[in-house]
Amino acid sequence: MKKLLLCLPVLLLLLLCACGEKTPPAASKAELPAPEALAAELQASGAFAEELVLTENDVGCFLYGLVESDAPEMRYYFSSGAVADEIAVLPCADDAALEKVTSECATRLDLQTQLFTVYKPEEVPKLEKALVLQRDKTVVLCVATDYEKAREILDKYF
Amino acid sequence: MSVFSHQKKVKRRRWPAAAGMLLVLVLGLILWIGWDAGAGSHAAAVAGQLESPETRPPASAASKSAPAEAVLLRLAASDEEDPAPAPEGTPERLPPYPAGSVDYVPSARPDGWTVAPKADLCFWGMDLIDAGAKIHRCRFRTGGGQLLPDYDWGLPVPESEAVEQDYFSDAVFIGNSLAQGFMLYAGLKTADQYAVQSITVNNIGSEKVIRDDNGGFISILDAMARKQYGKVFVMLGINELSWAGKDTFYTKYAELIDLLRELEPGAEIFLQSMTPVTAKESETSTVFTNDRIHEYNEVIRQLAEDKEAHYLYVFDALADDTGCLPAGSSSDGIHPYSNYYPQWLTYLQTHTVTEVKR
Repeated sequence: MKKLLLCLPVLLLLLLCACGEKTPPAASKAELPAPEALAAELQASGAFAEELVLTENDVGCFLYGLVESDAPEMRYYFSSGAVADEIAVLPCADDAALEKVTSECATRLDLQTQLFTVYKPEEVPKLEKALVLQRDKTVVLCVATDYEKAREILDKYF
Repeated sequence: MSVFSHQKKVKRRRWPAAAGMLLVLVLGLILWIGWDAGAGSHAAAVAGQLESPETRPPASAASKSAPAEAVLLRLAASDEEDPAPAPEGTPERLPPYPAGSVDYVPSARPDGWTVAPKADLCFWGMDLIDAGAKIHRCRFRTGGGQLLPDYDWGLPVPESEAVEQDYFSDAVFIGNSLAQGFMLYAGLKTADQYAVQSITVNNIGSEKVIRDDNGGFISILDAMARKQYGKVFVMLGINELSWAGKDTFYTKYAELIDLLRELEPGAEIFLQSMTPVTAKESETSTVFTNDRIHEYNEVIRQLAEDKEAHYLYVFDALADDTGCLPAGSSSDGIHPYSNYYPQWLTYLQTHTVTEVKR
Protein backbone atom coordinates (compact mmCIF):
# COMPACT_ATOMS: atom_id res chain seq x y z
CA MET A 1 0.00 0.00 0.00
CA LYS A 2 2.74 2.44 0.92
CA LYS A 3 4.58 1.58 -2.25
CA LEU A 4 1.44 2.21 -4.26
CA LEU A 5 0.93 5.60 -2.62
CA LEU A 6 4.55 6.47 -3.29
CA CYS A 7 4.31 5.43 -6.93
CA LEU A 8 1.06 7.29 -7.55
CA PRO A 9 2.57 10.77 -7.98
CA VAL A 10 5.15 9.34 -10.33
CA LEU A 11 2.45 7.65 -12.33
CA LEU A 12 0.42 10.86 -12.44
CA LEU A 13 3.47 12.80 -13.59
CA LEU A 14 4.14 10.30 -16.37
CA LEU A 15 0.50 10.44 -17.40
CA LEU A 16 0.60 14.22 -17.65
CA CYS A 17 3.70 14.14 -19.82
CA ALA A 18 2.15 11.61 -22.16
CA CYS A 19 -0.92 13.74 -22.63
CA GLY A 20 1.06 16.93 -23.22
CA GLU A 21 1.18 18.61 -26.67
CA LYS A 22 3.94 17.43 -28.97
CA THR A 23 4.62 20.88 -30.37
CA PRO A 24 6.53 23.21 -28.15
CA PRO A 25 4.58 26.13 -26.73
CA ALA A 26 4.26 29.29 -28.88
CA ALA A 27 6.55 31.21 -26.60
CA SER A 28 9.46 29.21 -27.97
CA LYS A 29 8.86 30.37 -31.53
CA ALA A 30 10.62 33.48 -32.74
CA GLU A 31 8.59 36.59 -33.35
CA LEU A 32 7.22 36.64 -36.86
CA PRO A 33 9.19 39.15 -38.95
CA ALA A 34 7.69 41.61 -41.41
CA PRO A 35 6.63 40.03 -44.72
CA GLU A 36 9.57 41.43 -46.69
CA ALA A 37 12.04 40.30 -44.05
CA LEU A 38 10.58 36.81 -43.96
CA ALA A 39 10.70 36.55 -47.75
CA ALA A 40 14.26 37.83 -47.80
CA GLU A 41 15.30 35.28 -45.21
CA LEU A 42 13.67 32.52 -47.19
CA GLN A 43 15.36 33.57 -50.41
CA ALA A 44 18.74 33.91 -48.72
CA SER A 45 18.47 30.30 -47.59
CA GLY A 46 18.90 29.12 -51.18
CA ALA A 47 15.59 27.29 -51.17
CA PHE A 48 14.54 28.60 -54.60
CA ALA A 49 15.74 27.89 -58.12
CA GLU A 50 15.93 31.56 -59.03
CA GLU A 51 15.38 34.93 -57.48
CA LEU A 52 11.72 35.57 -56.80
CA VAL A 53 10.65 39.10 -57.50
CA LEU A 54 8.28 41.21 -55.44
CA THR A 55 5.30 42.18 -57.58
CA GLU A 56 2.57 44.73 -57.27
CA ASN A 57 -0.22 43.78 -54.93
CA ASP A 58 -2.92 44.24 -57.57
CA VAL A 59 -1.27 41.64 -59.79
CA GLY A 60 -0.80 39.26 -56.89
CA CYS A 61 -4.40 39.73 -55.83
CA PHE A 62 -5.52 39.03 -59.39
CA LEU A 63 -3.65 35.72 -59.38
CA TYR A 64 -4.78 34.75 -55.88
CA GLY A 65 -8.38 35.90 -56.09
CA LEU A 66 -7.93 38.33 -53.20
CA VAL A 67 -8.41 42.00 -52.60
CA GLU A 68 -5.95 44.21 -50.84
CA SER A 69 -8.21 44.71 -47.84
CA ASP A 70 -8.02 40.97 -47.11
CA ALA A 71 -4.39 41.41 -46.09
CA PRO A 72 -3.17 44.99 -46.41
CA GLU A 73 0.44 44.03 -45.72
CA MET A 74 0.41 41.26 -48.33
CA ARG A 75 3.54 40.52 -50.32
CA TYR A 76 3.86 38.32 -53.42
CA TYR A 77 7.06 37.01 -54.96
CA PHE A 78 7.01 35.29 -58.34
CA SER A 79 9.57 33.70 -60.65
CA SER A 80 10.33 34.48 -64.27
CA GLY A 81 7.86 31.79 -65.28
CA ALA A 82 10.55 29.21 -65.79
CA VAL A 83 9.82 27.54 -62.43
CA ALA A 84 6.88 27.11 -60.08
CA ASP A 85 8.72 28.64 -57.11
CA GLU A 86 6.68 31.27 -55.32
CA ILE A 87 6.22 33.01 -51.98
CA ALA A 88 3.16 34.76 -50.62
CA VAL A 89 3.10 36.31 -47.16
CA LEU A 90 -0.42 37.29 -46.20
CA PRO A 91 -1.09 38.89 -42.78
CA CYS A 92 -4.88 38.80 -42.77
CA ALA A 93 -7.06 41.59 -41.54
CA ASP A 94 -9.50 39.43 -39.58
CA ASP A 95 -10.84 35.90 -39.18
CA ALA A 96 -13.08 36.12 -42.22
CA ALA A 97 -10.13 37.20 -44.35
CA LEU A 98 -8.05 34.42 -42.85
CA GLU A 99 -10.59 31.85 -43.95
CA LYS A 100 -10.77 33.35 -47.45
CA VAL A 101 -7.00 33.61 -47.81
CA THR A 102 -6.44 30.04 -46.70
CA SER A 103 -9.00 28.82 -49.17
CA GLU A 104 -7.61 30.88 -52.06
CA CYS A 105 -4.08 29.69 -51.36
CA ALA A 106 -5.28 26.14 -51.79
CA THR A 107 -7.06 27.11 -55.00
CA ARG A 108 -3.92 28.81 -56.27
CA LEU A 109 -1.90 25.64 -55.74
CA ASP A 110 -4.56 23.53 -57.44
CA LEU A 111 -4.54 25.78 -60.50
CA GLN A 112 -0.76 25.93 -60.67
CA THR A 113 -0.58 22.14 -60.45
CA GLN A 114 -3.12 21.85 -63.26
CA LEU A 115 -1.19 24.27 -65.46
CA PHE A 116 2.28 22.96 -64.77
CA THR A 117 1.17 19.39 -65.42
CA VAL A 118 0.96 20.40 -69.08
CA TYR A 119 3.42 23.28 -69.12
CA LYS A 120 6.39 21.86 -67.17
CA PRO A 121 5.59 18.52 -65.53
CA GLU A 122 8.97 18.42 -63.78
CA GLU A 123 7.77 21.30 -61.58
CA VAL A 124 4.68 19.47 -60.32
CA PRO A 125 6.40 17.69 -57.39
CA LYS A 126 7.29 21.09 -55.95
CA LEU A 127 3.66 22.10 -56.04
CA GLU A 128 2.58 18.86 -54.44
CA LYS A 129 4.90 19.55 -51.51
CA ALA A 130 3.97 23.21 -51.26
CA LEU A 131 3.67 24.68 -47.78
CA VAL A 132 0.72 26.72 -46.56
CA LEU A 133 1.48 27.69 -42.97
CA GLN A 134 -0.48 29.79 -40.55
CA ARG A 135 0.46 31.58 -37.38
CA ASP A 136 -2.16 33.74 -35.74
CA LYS A 137 -3.69 35.57 -38.70
CA THR A 138 -0.67 35.33 -41.00
CA VAL A 139 -0.65 32.81 -43.81
CA VAL A 140 2.48 31.96 -45.78
CA LEU A 141 2.45 30.03 -49.05
CA CYS A 142 5.79 28.66 -50.14
CA VAL A 143 6.61 26.67 -53.27
CA ALA A 144 10.30 25.88 -53.12
CA THR A 145 12.94 23.85 -54.91
CA ASP A 146 14.60 22.80 -51.65
CA TYR A 147 12.08 22.33 -48.89
CA GLU A 148 14.69 21.39 -46.32
CA LYS A 149 16.19 24.83 -46.57
CA ALA A 150 12.79 26.47 -46.61
CA ARG A 151 11.76 24.52 -43.54
CA GLU A 152 14.88 25.60 -41.64
CA ILE A 153 13.63 29.14 -41.90
CA LEU A 154 9.90 28.61 -41.57
CA ASP A 155 10.15 26.26 -38.60
CA LYS A 156 11.61 29.12 -36.58
CA TYR A 157 8.36 30.98 -36.88
CA PHE A 158 5.59 28.47 -37.56
CA MET B 1 2.92 44.02 -110.20
CA SER B 2 4.36 45.19 -113.41
CA VAL B 3 6.63 47.84 -114.58
CA PHE B 4 5.55 49.61 -117.63
CA SER B 5 6.99 52.09 -120.05
CA HIS B 6 5.77 54.35 -122.74
CA GLN B 7 6.42 53.82 -126.29
CA LYS B 8 6.10 56.56 -128.79
CA LYS B 9 3.70 55.70 -131.49
CA VAL B 10 4.99 56.39 -134.84
CA LYS B 11 2.45 57.29 -137.31
CA ARG B 12 2.91 55.85 -140.63
CA ARG B 13 2.00 57.92 -143.57
CA ARG B 14 2.06 57.09 -147.10
CA TRP B 15 4.34 59.16 -149.24
CA PRO B 16 4.46 58.80 -152.87
CA ALA B 17 8.27 59.22 -152.82
CA ALA B 18 10.76 57.07 -150.95
CA ALA B 19 12.69 60.15 -149.84
CA GLY B 20 9.71 61.58 -148.07
CA MET B 21 9.14 58.32 -146.31
CA LEU B 22 12.72 58.19 -145.21
CA LEU B 23 12.60 61.75 -143.87
CA VAL B 24 9.63 60.99 -141.70
CA LEU B 25 11.25 57.91 -140.32
CA VAL B 26 14.39 59.79 -139.40
CA LEU B 27 12.45 62.57 -137.68
CA GLY B 28 10.39 60.11 -135.73
CA LEU B 29 13.48 58.29 -134.58
CA ILE B 30 15.10 61.48 -133.38
CA LEU B 31 12.04 62.44 -131.37
CA TRP B 32 11.70 59.03 -129.76
CA ILE B 33 15.32 58.81 -128.65
CA GLY B 34 15.25 62.28 -127.11
CA TRP B 35 12.11 61.62 -125.08
CA ASP B 36 13.25 58.26 -123.74
CA ALA B 37 16.65 59.66 -122.66
CA GLY B 38 14.98 62.39 -120.65
CA ALA B 39 12.75 59.97 -118.74
CA GLY B 40 15.59 57.57 -118.06
CA SER B 41 17.73 60.30 -116.56
CA HIS B 42 14.94 61.18 -114.15
CA ALA B 43 14.75 57.62 -112.84
CA ALA B 44 18.50 57.41 -112.65
CA ALA B 45 18.70 60.68 -110.72
CA VAL B 46 16.32 59.42 -108.07
CA ALA B 47 17.83 55.98 -107.98
CA GLY B 48 21.15 57.63 -107.30
CA GLN B 49 19.77 58.85 -103.98
CA LEU B 50 19.25 55.29 -102.79
CA GLU B 51 21.85 53.23 -101.08
CA SER B 52 22.71 50.16 -103.04
CA PRO B 53 22.38 46.84 -101.20
CA GLU B 54 26.15 46.52 -101.24
CA THR B 55 26.70 49.74 -99.30
CA ARG B 56 24.10 49.05 -96.63
CA PRO B 57 25.39 47.47 -93.42
CA PRO B 58 24.92 43.71 -93.33
CA ALA B 59 21.73 42.58 -91.69
CA SER B 60 22.18 40.90 -88.34
CA ALA B 61 20.23 37.90 -87.24
CA ALA B 62 17.97 40.23 -85.32
CA SER B 63 17.89 42.93 -88.02
CA LYS B 64 14.90 45.13 -87.88
CA SER B 65 12.50 44.39 -90.66
CA ALA B 66 10.78 47.74 -90.25
CA PRO B 67 12.17 51.13 -91.21
CA ALA B 68 12.70 53.71 -88.56
CA GLU B 69 10.58 56.80 -88.07
CA ALA B 70 7.84 55.82 -90.39
CA VAL B 71 4.36 57.19 -90.49
CA LEU B 72 1.77 54.53 -90.97
CA LEU B 73 -1.18 55.47 -93.07
CA ARG B 74 -3.27 53.01 -94.90
CA LEU B 75 -5.73 53.58 -97.64
CA ALA B 76 -8.12 50.92 -98.74
CA ALA B 77 -6.91 49.38 -101.96
CA SER B 78 -9.63 49.48 -104.54
CA ASP B 79 -9.77 49.37 -108.31
CA GLU B 80 -12.64 51.78 -108.22
CA GLU B 81 -10.84 54.31 -106.13
CA ASP B 82 -9.69 57.40 -107.97
CA PRO B 83 -5.97 57.35 -108.51
CA ALA B 84 -3.95 59.72 -106.41
CA PRO B 85 -2.93 62.72 -108.47
CA ALA B 86 0.56 62.85 -109.84
CA PRO B 87 2.84 65.29 -108.07
CA GLU B 88 3.19 68.79 -109.31
CA GLY B 89 5.56 69.05 -112.21
CA THR B 90 4.92 65.57 -113.51
CA PRO B 91 4.64 65.64 -117.28
CA GLU B 92 1.15 64.99 -118.45
CA ARG B 93 2.03 62.05 -120.56
CA LEU B 94 3.08 60.07 -117.48
CA PRO B 95 0.41 57.83 -115.93
CA PRO B 96 -1.25 58.74 -112.63
CA TYR B 97 -0.23 56.97 -109.47
CA PRO B 98 -2.03 53.66 -109.21
CA ALA B 99 -5.05 53.32 -106.98
CA GLY B 100 -4.26 51.99 -103.55
CA SER B 101 -0.77 53.37 -103.29
CA VAL B 102 -0.19 55.22 -100.07
CA ASP B 103 2.08 57.68 -98.43
CA TYR B 104 4.55 55.91 -96.26
CA VAL B 105 7.69 57.83 -95.48
CA PRO B 106 10.51 55.75 -94.11
CA SER B 107 13.80 57.29 -93.19
CA ALA B 108 15.55 54.21 -94.49
CA ARG B 109 14.68 51.42 -96.85
CA PRO B 110 13.90 48.29 -94.82
CA ASP B 111 16.80 45.93 -94.32
CA GLY B 112 16.90 43.20 -96.90
CA TRP B 113 14.82 45.07 -99.47
CA THR B 114 16.35 45.38 -102.94
CA VAL B 115 15.49 47.38 -106.02
CA ALA B 116 13.60 45.42 -108.65
CA PRO B 117 15.10 45.10 -112.14
CA LYS B 118 13.98 47.43 -114.92
CA ALA B 119 13.32 50.20 -112.42
CA ASP B 120 14.47 52.70 -114.95
CA LEU B 121 11.41 51.89 -117.04
CA CYS B 122 9.12 53.14 -114.33
CA PHE B 123 8.57 56.88 -114.60
CA TRP B 124 6.55 57.45 -111.48
CA GLY B 125 8.31 55.09 -109.12
CA MET B 126 10.02 51.78 -108.82
CA ASP B 127 9.45 48.35 -107.40
CA LEU B 128 11.19 47.08 -104.31
CA ILE B 129 11.51 43.43 -103.38
CA ASP B 130 11.39 42.54 -99.70
CA ALA B 131 13.27 39.76 -97.95
CA GLY B 132 10.41 37.41 -98.74
CA ALA B 133 10.63 38.14 -102.49
CA LYS B 134 7.39 40.09 -102.47
CA ILE B 135 7.29 43.12 -104.73
CA HIS B 136 6.23 46.45 -103.31
CA ARG B 137 5.25 49.25 -105.63
CA CYS B 138 6.80 52.53 -104.67
CA ARG B 139 6.42 55.98 -106.06
CA PHE B 140 8.72 58.92 -106.22
CA ARG B 141 8.11 62.31 -104.85
CA THR B 142 9.34 65.21 -106.88
CA GLY B 143 12.25 67.01 -105.37
CA GLY B 144 12.83 64.52 -102.60
CA GLY B 145 13.46 61.10 -103.94
CA GLN B 146 11.66 59.57 -100.97
CA LEU B 147 10.56 56.01 -101.40
CA LEU B 148 6.91 55.43 -100.75
CA PRO B 149 6.23 51.71 -100.61
CA ASP B 150 2.75 50.38 -100.78
CA TYR B 151 1.12 49.71 -97.48
CA ASP B 152 1.58 46.15 -96.35
CA TRP B 153 -0.27 44.67 -93.38
CA GLY B 154 2.56 42.16 -93.08
CA LEU B 155 5.07 44.93 -92.51
CA PRO B 156 5.92 45.22 -88.83
CA VAL B 157 4.56 48.30 -87.12
CA PRO B 158 7.36 50.80 -87.63
CA GLU B 159 9.05 52.84 -84.96
CA SER B 160 7.33 56.05 -83.98
CA GLU B 161 7.46 58.70 -81.35
CA ALA B 162 7.07 57.29 -77.84
CA VAL B 163 3.65 57.45 -76.28
CA GLU B 164 2.56 57.53 -72.67
CA GLN B 165 0.89 54.58 -70.99
CA ASP B 166 -2.55 56.05 -71.60
CA TYR B 167 -2.17 54.77 -75.17
CA PHE B 168 -2.96 51.37 -73.66
CA SER B 169 -5.96 52.51 -71.63
CA ASP B 170 -8.33 50.84 -74.11
CA ALA B 171 -6.16 47.76 -74.49
CA VAL B 172 -6.20 44.20 -73.32
CA PHE B 173 -3.22 41.87 -73.36
CA ILE B 174 -3.79 38.14 -73.65
CA GLY B 175 -1.42 35.22 -73.93
CA ASN B 176 0.99 32.74 -72.46
CA SER B 177 3.72 32.67 -69.81
CA LEU B 178 5.72 35.36 -71.59
CA ALA B 179 2.63 37.55 -71.57
CA GLN B 180 2.29 36.72 -67.90
CA GLY B 181 5.85 37.85 -67.33
CA PHE B 182 4.95 41.07 -69.11
CA MET B 183 1.95 41.40 -66.83
CA LEU B 184 4.06 40.86 -63.73
CA TYR B 185 7.16 42.87 -64.56
CA ALA B 186 6.76 45.31 -67.45
CA GLY B 187 5.18 47.97 -65.28
CA LEU B 188 2.16 48.62 -67.49
CA LYS B 189 -0.60 50.03 -65.32
CA THR B 190 -3.29 51.09 -67.75
CA ALA B 191 -4.34 47.93 -69.57
CA ASP B 192 -6.21 44.79 -68.65
CA GLN B 193 -4.09 41.68 -68.87
CA TYR B 194 -5.09 38.03 -68.94
CA ALA B 195 -2.13 35.71 -69.31
CA VAL B 196 -1.24 32.32 -67.94
CA GLN B 197 1.44 29.74 -68.59
CA SER B 198 0.56 26.85 -70.88
CA ILE B 199 -1.85 28.92 -72.97
CA THR B 200 -1.89 28.26 -76.71
CA VAL B 201 -3.99 29.26 -79.69
CA ASN B 202 -5.86 26.04 -79.07
CA ASN B 203 -6.89 26.43 -75.43
CA ILE B 204 -7.07 30.18 -74.90
CA GLY B 205 -10.82 29.99 -75.27
CA SER B 206 -11.39 26.79 -73.35
CA GLU B 207 -8.91 26.52 -70.47
CA LYS B 208 -10.59 28.02 -67.42
CA VAL B 209 -7.73 29.85 -65.77
CA ILE B 210 -8.95 33.33 -64.93
CA ARG B 211 -10.85 33.96 -61.72
CA ASP B 212 -14.26 35.43 -62.31
CA ASP B 213 -16.29 37.64 -60.04
CA ASN B 214 -18.20 34.71 -58.56
CA GLY B 215 -15.24 32.79 -57.27
CA GLY B 216 -15.08 30.41 -60.20
CA PHE B 217 -12.81 30.25 -63.22
CA ILE B 218 -13.37 31.30 -66.82
CA SER B 219 -11.25 31.24 -69.96
CA ILE B 220 -9.08 34.11 -71.11
CA LEU B 221 -11.42 34.86 -74.00
CA ASP B 222 -14.43 34.88 -71.70
CA ALA B 223 -12.63 37.23 -69.35
CA MET B 224 -11.75 39.52 -72.23
CA ALA B 225 -15.26 39.44 -73.66
CA ARG B 226 -16.69 41.09 -70.54
CA LYS B 227 -15.54 44.43 -71.89
CA GLN B 228 -15.11 46.18 -75.24
CA TYR B 229 -11.57 47.19 -76.09
CA GLY B 230 -9.94 49.38 -78.69
CA LYS B 231 -6.77 47.31 -78.89
CA VAL B 232 -6.08 43.62 -78.36
CA PHE B 233 -2.46 42.58 -77.95
CA VAL B 234 -1.82 38.88 -78.41
CA MET B 235 1.29 36.98 -77.38
CA LEU B 236 1.22 33.31 -78.36
CA GLY B 237 3.48 30.80 -80.01
CA ILE B 238 6.20 29.61 -77.66
CA ASN B 239 4.15 26.67 -76.43
CA GLU B 240 3.20 25.80 -80.00
CA LEU B 241 6.79 25.22 -81.07
CA SER B 242 6.40 21.65 -79.94
CA TRP B 243 3.30 21.17 -82.06
CA ALA B 244 2.81 19.19 -85.20
CA GLY B 245 3.69 22.00 -87.55
CA LYS B 246 3.37 25.55 -88.75
CA ASP B 247 0.28 24.87 -90.83
CA THR B 248 -1.68 23.86 -87.77
CA PHE B 249 -0.41 26.91 -85.93
CA TYR B 250 -1.51 29.15 -88.80
CA THR B 251 -4.96 27.58 -89.01
CA LYS B 252 -5.67 27.72 -85.30
CA TYR B 253 -4.30 31.23 -84.91
CA ALA B 254 -6.39 32.38 -87.86
CA GLU B 255 -9.50 30.95 -86.21
CA LEU B 256 -8.59 32.75 -83.01
CA ILE B 257 -8.25 36.07 -84.85
CA ASP B 258 -11.67 35.57 -86.41
CA LEU B 259 -13.07 34.93 -82.95
CA LEU B 260 -11.35 38.00 -81.55
CA ARG B 261 -12.98 40.08 -84.27
CA GLU B 262 -16.37 38.75 -83.26
CA LEU B 263 -15.76 39.40 -79.58
CA GLU B 264 -14.12 42.78 -80.08
CA PRO B 265 -15.46 44.20 -83.34
CA GLY B 266 -14.13 47.68 -82.66
CA ALA B 267 -10.62 46.67 -81.72
CA GLU B 268 -7.38 46.78 -83.62
CA ILE B 269 -5.60 43.48 -83.22
CA PHE B 270 -1.87 43.40 -82.58
CA LEU B 271 -0.03 40.13 -83.09
CA GLN B 272 3.22 40.14 -81.18
CA SER B 273 6.06 38.11 -82.57
CA MET B 274 7.66 35.49 -80.43
CA THR B 275 10.67 36.53 -78.38
CA PRO B 276 14.16 35.05 -78.73
CA VAL B 277 15.79 32.35 -76.65
CA THR B 278 19.38 32.37 -75.46
CA ALA B 279 22.13 31.06 -77.69
CA LYS B 280 22.70 28.19 -75.31
CA GLU B 281 19.06 27.15 -75.42
CA SER B 282 19.00 27.55 -79.17
CA GLU B 283 22.05 25.35 -79.58
CA THR B 284 21.00 22.62 -77.20
CA SER B 285 17.27 22.37 -77.77
CA THR B 286 15.58 20.73 -80.71
CA VAL B 287 12.36 22.66 -80.13
CA PHE B 288 13.21 26.08 -78.74
CA THR B 289 15.66 27.41 -81.30
CA ASN B 290 15.84 30.89 -82.75
CA ASP B 291 15.65 29.49 -86.26
CA ARG B 292 12.32 27.87 -85.48
CA ILE B 293 11.16 31.01 -83.74
CA HIS B 294 11.93 32.97 -86.91
CA GLU B 295 9.94 30.45 -88.94
CA TYR B 296 6.95 30.74 -86.65
CA ASN B 297 7.27 34.51 -86.56
CA GLU B 298 6.99 34.46 -90.33
CA VAL B 299 3.72 32.59 -89.89
CA ILE B 300 2.52 35.27 -87.47
CA ARG B 301 3.58 37.98 -89.89
CA GLN B 302 1.70 36.26 -92.71
CA LEU B 303 -1.36 35.98 -90.48
CA ALA B 304 -1.20 39.69 -89.77
CA GLU B 305 -1.09 40.34 -93.48
CA ASP B 306 -3.90 37.95 -94.31
CA LYS B 307 -6.14 39.08 -91.47
CA GLU B 308 -5.31 42.80 -91.53
CA ALA B 309 -3.88 42.73 -88.05
CA HIS B 310 -0.86 44.70 -86.90
CA TYR B 311 2.40 42.82 -86.56
CA LEU B 312 4.64 43.88 -83.69
CA TYR B 313 8.17 42.55 -84.00
CA VAL B 314 8.89 42.43 -80.26
CA PHE B 315 11.66 39.92 -80.94
CA ASP B 316 13.84 42.97 -81.44
CA ALA B 317 12.96 44.33 -78.01
CA LEU B 318 14.75 41.49 -76.26
CA ALA B 319 17.37 40.27 -78.75
CA ASP B 320 21.00 41.23 -78.44
CA ASP B 321 23.34 41.92 -81.34
CA THR B 322 23.61 38.20 -82.08
CA GLY B 323 19.86 37.82 -82.38
CA CYS B 324 19.49 35.90 -79.12
CA LEU B 325 18.12 36.52 -75.67
CA PRO B 326 21.24 37.73 -73.83
CA ALA B 327 23.27 35.20 -71.92
CA GLY B 328 22.49 35.31 -68.22
CA SER B 329 19.07 36.86 -68.79
CA SER B 330 17.08 33.72 -68.08
CA SER B 331 17.22 30.61 -65.95
CA ASP B 332 15.73 28.36 -68.63
CA GLY B 333 16.87 30.22 -71.71
CA ILE B 334 13.31 31.14 -72.67
CA HIS B 335 11.74 33.28 -69.94
CA PRO B 336 13.63 36.50 -69.31
CA TYR B 337 14.22 37.71 -65.80
CA SER B 338 11.99 40.48 -64.55
CA ASN B 339 14.37 43.33 -65.42
CA TYR B 340 14.01 42.66 -69.17
CA TYR B 341 10.30 43.26 -69.44
CA PRO B 342 10.36 47.06 -69.18
CA GLN B 343 12.26 47.22 -72.49
CA TRP B 344 9.46 45.21 -74.06
CA LEU B 345 7.00 47.83 -72.85
CA THR B 346 9.25 50.56 -74.19
CA TYR B 347 9.17 48.82 -77.57
CA LEU B 348 5.38 48.84 -77.55
CA GLN B 349 5.36 52.49 -76.60
CA THR B 350 7.58 53.31 -79.56
CA HIS B 351 5.80 51.16 -82.14
CA THR B 352 2.26 52.40 -82.14
CA VAL B 353 -0.60 52.74 -84.54
CA THR B 354 -2.55 55.93 -84.21
CA GLU B 355 -4.48 56.00 -87.46
CA VAL B 356 -5.87 53.19 -89.53
CA LYS B 357 -8.17 53.69 -92.48
CA ARG B 358 -10.05 50.88 -94.00
